[in-house]
Amino acid sequence: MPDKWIKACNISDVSEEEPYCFAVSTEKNVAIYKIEEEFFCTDDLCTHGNASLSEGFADEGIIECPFHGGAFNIRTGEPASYPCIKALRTYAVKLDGDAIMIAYDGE
Amino acid sequence: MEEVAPSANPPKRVVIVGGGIASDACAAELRQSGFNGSIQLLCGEPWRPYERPPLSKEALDDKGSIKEQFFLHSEGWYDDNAIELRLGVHAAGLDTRQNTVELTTGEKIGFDRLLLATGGAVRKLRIEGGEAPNVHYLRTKDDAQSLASALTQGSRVAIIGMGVIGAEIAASARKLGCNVTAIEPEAGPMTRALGSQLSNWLAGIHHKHGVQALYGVSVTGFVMKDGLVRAVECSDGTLVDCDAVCVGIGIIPETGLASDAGLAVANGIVVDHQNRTSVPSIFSAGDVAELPAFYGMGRVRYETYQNAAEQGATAARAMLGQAADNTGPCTFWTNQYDLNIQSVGQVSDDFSIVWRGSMNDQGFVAFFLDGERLVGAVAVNRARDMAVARKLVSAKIDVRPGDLASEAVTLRTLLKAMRKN
Repeated sequence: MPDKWIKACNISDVSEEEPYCFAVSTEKNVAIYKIEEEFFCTDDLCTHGNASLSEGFADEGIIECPFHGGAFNIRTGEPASYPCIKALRTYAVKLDGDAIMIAYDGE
Repeated sequence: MEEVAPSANPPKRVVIVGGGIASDACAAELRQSGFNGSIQLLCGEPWRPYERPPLSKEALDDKGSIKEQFFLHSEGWYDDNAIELRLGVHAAGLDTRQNTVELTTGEKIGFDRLLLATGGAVRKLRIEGGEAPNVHYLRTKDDAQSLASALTQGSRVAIIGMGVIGAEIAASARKLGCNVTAIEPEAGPMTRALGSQLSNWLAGIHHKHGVQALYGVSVTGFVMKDGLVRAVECSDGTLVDCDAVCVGIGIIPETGLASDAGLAVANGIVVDHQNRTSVPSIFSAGDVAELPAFYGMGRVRYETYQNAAEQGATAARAMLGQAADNTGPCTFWTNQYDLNIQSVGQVSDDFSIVWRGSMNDQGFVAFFLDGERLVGAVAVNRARDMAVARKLVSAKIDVRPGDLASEAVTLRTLLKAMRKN
């Protein structure tokens, strides 16, 4: 399925310290992060355990999972520290006025 | 210890003895760091590398998951990364002059660099009847399979040892509807990992969830019937009837290969801050390795997942002559009931505690201070605070107790202040 831009939230919903959790479907949540003036998006579910990354600790471009302290690079989704080993899926982000749009192919 | 100069003798063959997280992390880091030579991973178990932490938690909830899940990588990942996986093989000896490791089959494998990540064997209870089939230890997937079968609704389970393993099994067993009695010689659960105040708190949690516990008590005998243990005799005279026994009394590091070959061995295989042993081409990492302590002048052997992984990765970089340092605090987690407990650094009665929140709250943090120096922390259901605590402990900074205790001061501000200095 081709990517479709959907609105995840408003710019004011996300801060550097508080990522935003958005349900793209009944089965999937994504996390929206702010790093300086840019926004990024990854799957919200940690690849290591049943944890929500938007409840984790975002700092210096890294999101730490609240479960066991593993971490991912927010920009690339690559694991940054054990016990996380498998990369996170990332989604393209663009701004439309005050809205944060993410490219989502429905899956 | 002699450090190998980066440009001299770049390695072409790396052999890794052991199939756990330290080994796997080493192999992964070698490829990540640009190593194109051969990597052989010699796994003693019939399984490719997997995570042990779930074996006392998720695996027991869902017996069917044990065979299929908890692997670190797909089988294809090893092929894709040209890592030769050899399962069910055991090393019998090392020749440090020929640089070979000999298997129990007689096969000799040459190496340029070797990693000894042989982990530990469960410490066994030396009590008559202790070899009965309903006495369970927990270290491997196979152990978990067997233990999971024994944890059924209504079964009476005696848990000997309330360290991390015993405490997690107790929580899993209660969740599965077992009748649980725990027997522990110390005054409470996980005293070594938590210190006495938090141990008391955890004892209360287990009690609240219906675990009957005998603390300050040891096991003196087993009552057998038809080849099975039917009751556990305790030092205080209590007789604990049971259908199954779980024993979690620690591990003994598997240092045999190293000591037979003349490597320095103490509490574990002795390594430096780069996980290098007393032989420059041989490294060691994980539960088996004894390294310089992060805090103070002593030496330590960690039995945690995170430290094992980081040591394996450190060894990989050091093998290639790249910058590598394993110096960092101990970190671990445990999940029991609805509690997420994470820990960093030194946690013991030797240090004073500053509380953020209290033990009566749903979540709280205990900070451990040596004077003004923050040396450790335990966080219960407070992951974001723990993330900061880890950074503060790693930075070995001094703190003001009031800042740690007051919810009006966010821990992030302490992090920012630390970075400004």
